[in-house]
Amino acid sequence: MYVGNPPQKIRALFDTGSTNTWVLNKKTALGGNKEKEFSYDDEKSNSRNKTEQKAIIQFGSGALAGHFFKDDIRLGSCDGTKSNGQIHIKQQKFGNVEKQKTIFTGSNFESIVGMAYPALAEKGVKPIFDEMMGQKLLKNNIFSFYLTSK
Amino acid sequence: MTFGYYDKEKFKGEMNWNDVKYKYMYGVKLDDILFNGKSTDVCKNRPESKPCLITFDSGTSLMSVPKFATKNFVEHGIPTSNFVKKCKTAKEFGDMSLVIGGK
Repeated sequence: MYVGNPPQKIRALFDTGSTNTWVLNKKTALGGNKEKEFSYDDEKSNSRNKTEQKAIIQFGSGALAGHFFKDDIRLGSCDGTKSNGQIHIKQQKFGNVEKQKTIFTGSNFESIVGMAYPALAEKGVKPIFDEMMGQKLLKNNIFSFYLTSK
Repeated sequence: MTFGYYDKEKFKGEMNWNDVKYKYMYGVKLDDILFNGKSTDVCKNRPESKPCLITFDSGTSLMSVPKFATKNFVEHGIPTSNFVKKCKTAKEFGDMSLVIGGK
């Protein structure tokens, strides 16, 4: 997954059990002297739009807090080039993670992408799959997971 | 993961489609939970208006059930976090099946 323009690479966890999208900001401390492998530097994105809306969530494995930002998100393609099949979502509203507890500490992802229904969304936030449908980015309005033992 | 399509090479047989009854998470009607082939009756006598539901949460690796269901589980010898059974191998746990869409 890539956030902003020019695109910044981060790793995402696609969560069918929540609806909002969360992105770890470069300035956010992880605690436990953990270094960030990837993160979102909003100051380096020329398409970022801050909002005053506060964002907060409690997961089973920790908590996140920050503000809602809008920026472009791209899905797919490992080298970040606009190859065949990359999905470019314009101005997705997501929680810019400014404080975090345990979620991103030692994790192998820097974003949680909520795939559940709009009924669980924060006020005024359109979930990423609804944005994909609304911006007519998909041939069929389907997503799928493949579970592998590898 | 795919968006806009699914890969037919990744599975055998026909795809089974189920209606989402509860559109918060992906709440789908659950018919029954079987343990070693026997019904646990967790979804027995549920009115059509309040069906037994199961939701698929890609953001966790745990399975959770409401309190009332743990009673049925314990009655059928299914280990839960409050009814711990020490297993030497995963097989010892037994064979648990989720019946969705009659399958």
